[in-house]
Amino acid sequence: MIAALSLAAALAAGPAEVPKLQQARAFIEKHVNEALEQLKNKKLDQNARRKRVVEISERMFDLPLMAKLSLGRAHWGKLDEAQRKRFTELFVAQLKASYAEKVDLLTDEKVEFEEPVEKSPGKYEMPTAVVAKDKRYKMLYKLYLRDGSPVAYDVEIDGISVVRSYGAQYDQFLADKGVEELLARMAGQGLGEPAELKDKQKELGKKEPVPGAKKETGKGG
Amino acid sequence: MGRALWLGIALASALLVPARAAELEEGTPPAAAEFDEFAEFETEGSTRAVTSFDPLRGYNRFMFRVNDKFYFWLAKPLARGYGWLVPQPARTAVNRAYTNLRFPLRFVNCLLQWKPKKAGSELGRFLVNSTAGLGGLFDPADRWLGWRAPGDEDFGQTMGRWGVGDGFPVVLPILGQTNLRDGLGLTPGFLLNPVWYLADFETNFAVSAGEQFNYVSLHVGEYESIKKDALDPYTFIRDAYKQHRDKKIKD
Repeated sequence: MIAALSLAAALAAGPAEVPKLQQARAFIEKHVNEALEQLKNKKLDQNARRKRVVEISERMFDLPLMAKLSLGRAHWGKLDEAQRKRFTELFVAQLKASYAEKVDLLTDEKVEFEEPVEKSPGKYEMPTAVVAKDKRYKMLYKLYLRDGSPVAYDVEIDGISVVRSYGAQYDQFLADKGVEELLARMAGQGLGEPAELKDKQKELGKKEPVPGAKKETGKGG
Repeated sequence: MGRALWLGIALASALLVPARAAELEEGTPPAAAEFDEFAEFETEGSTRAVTSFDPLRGYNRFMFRVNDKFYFWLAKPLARGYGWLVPQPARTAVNRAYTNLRFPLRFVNCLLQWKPKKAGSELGRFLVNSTAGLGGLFDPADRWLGWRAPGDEDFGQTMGRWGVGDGFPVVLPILGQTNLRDGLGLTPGFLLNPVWYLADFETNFAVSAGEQFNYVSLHVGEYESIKKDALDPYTFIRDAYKQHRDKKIKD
């Protein structure tokens, strides 16, 4: 409480006076707490909750940058302008859909905020921990300064970086196949839900069906 | 005999690969200003994907598919049935009890990595939770004393800490993704798990299987979610596992 008040006072004095490190922490705290509030909001139905949480994630993450970093320098150079645009669109849509689904797997987790670290000038890491019923997950947000304000460009869950994980898959895919195939595949994955996830929702007592449910196409491997 | 020798050589050479020998692919050199972003964001030089050294890929992919079927056809339906019968708080308590039992494994590995503070923390938690926590079903050490569980240590991490490389990815039947080093580390891990000394082999096996089963019942939906997100679930899990283990070793 006192920390929040002093932070508020410092912010009132003008953003230049608040060290960027604290700004980074405040940024993550604000957005994560907002998201948690929405998740626990009983007045909204499930779809509305998901929508809100996805909106928050759009503000929290620089999604187009994540798309670019995930694809990686080697591949980005090989795409033309139209392909880059298309890739970014598909990546952003996929990430948002994936985030929205994760919302369904959460029940009453708590989040603990730890101390941010400046890894290099203008790059920050904000560690948090998600306390679920039987595990603690470490979620580490990586932030940079965009026009002077912090924004996240990656998140690591127990050491697993979203950018690197997608990157590894793109590397693997593009080793054998072409860019157009990748784009087609990403478009084909769609925003529907596998039946298993619907079952999980029923288990958690969430009765509303999710629209756009689609049968899973082709298994990996 | 010949095969055992081959395996021995492969093991020895794979384990001698230092832990950080990730293979990075050099892309086309940046030309335009937009490539500055890549330079800016590539920190430790290993932002790019982890090694794609996967000599057992054919076997791994096959076993991945087998495990996938096992999960959907057997493990999951049974775990869900169990989940309907047994309320979640009870299953969570059971999970805690099993976790508590793995204290010797964690403790020994904390010592082997010379982490006395962590070892002390494990010991304290074990004593409190086994007694006041009714055989580990509850976690008063955390709730009442604030002694949070430090990260789990195991033999794979100990070896990693000592500089042993992870070798290459291996997918084990049912147990799933691991790598050469961690897979080998499972054996001493079994020897230190009290579950295997309770009674006869069948009982011990059942108790151990019960643990996995209980765990699955608490985490239904996660694998499906991963599969949905991933372009190629096999690659995703393989590389995510490596990232995760590399991080745990550093901690």
